[in-house]
Amino acid sequence: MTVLQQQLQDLLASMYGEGLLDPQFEQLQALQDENNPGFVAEVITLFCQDTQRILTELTKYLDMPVVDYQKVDAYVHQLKGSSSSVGAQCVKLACVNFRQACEDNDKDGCLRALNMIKHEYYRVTSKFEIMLQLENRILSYSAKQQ
Amino acid sequence: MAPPPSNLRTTRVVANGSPNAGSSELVLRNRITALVVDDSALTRMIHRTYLTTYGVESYEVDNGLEAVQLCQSGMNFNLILMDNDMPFMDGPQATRALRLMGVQSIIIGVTAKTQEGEIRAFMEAGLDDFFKKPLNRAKLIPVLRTIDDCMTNN
Repeated sequence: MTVLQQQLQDLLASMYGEGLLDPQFEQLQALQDENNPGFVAEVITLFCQDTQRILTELTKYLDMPVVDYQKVDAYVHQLKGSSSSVGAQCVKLACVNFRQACEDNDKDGCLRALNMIKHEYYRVTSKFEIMLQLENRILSYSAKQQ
Repeated sequence: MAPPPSNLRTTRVVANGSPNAGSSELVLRNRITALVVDDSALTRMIHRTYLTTYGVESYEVDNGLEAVQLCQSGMNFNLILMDNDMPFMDGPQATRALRLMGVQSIIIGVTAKTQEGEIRAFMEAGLDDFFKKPLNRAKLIPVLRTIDDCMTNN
């Protein structure tokens, strides 16, 4: 049990250290309790669904011959809001660069920024996945002990 | 308070009374009701969870038009957390409509917008205050405390 908990703590520390997360994530963790045990997992699941939908839309809009930068910016704005709400700092920061490229009507800049967002999103979600697996193992271990 | 009309997709979440880590920071003396208006299911869930942590009775809708319709139906809220960009009716339009209807709830704009002009326009629509996303305890607690104190003093 302590080994699993230590692994979880180390993982979270590395996520903060690498700039994947900011303190907003701690605020969400504090909202989880025995009455709401799956809160963090639900938040992460919704964030991933939301982000995948937005990335699909952004890819589609940037693939068009004439780019509607206002539409693209609106999607990036949504993603900035949801990533800041979950504390996914790396995604949020990538959104800031993307919005600048939108403002400049810079298609190449937008495509580069989209790739950066995808890269940061996969980096944070792969760690989220490990985090949730560890939490599940800790929970099932606790259940067996009772 | 009148029940919500059946055609609106509202969700009512009432705190179960069990304390969690956040609730010890603030113990409300009054029954506070709140409406979360946001087109993001993720944001609605996070805001609702913050509110229920402190025992606030929370409702949610996913655009400004539904918020206006809900208040037209006779529902009253002590607090409304209003997003800016939403389909059908955005935050500033909904806030303006609510104020024209005479809604006196504390309305707080909660958005990722950072441009001064956009924030000013939202405030001028009738907001009481404005929070930059993400919402957190440090922002929410003073608002709930103020509402609770006003309700106690009245």
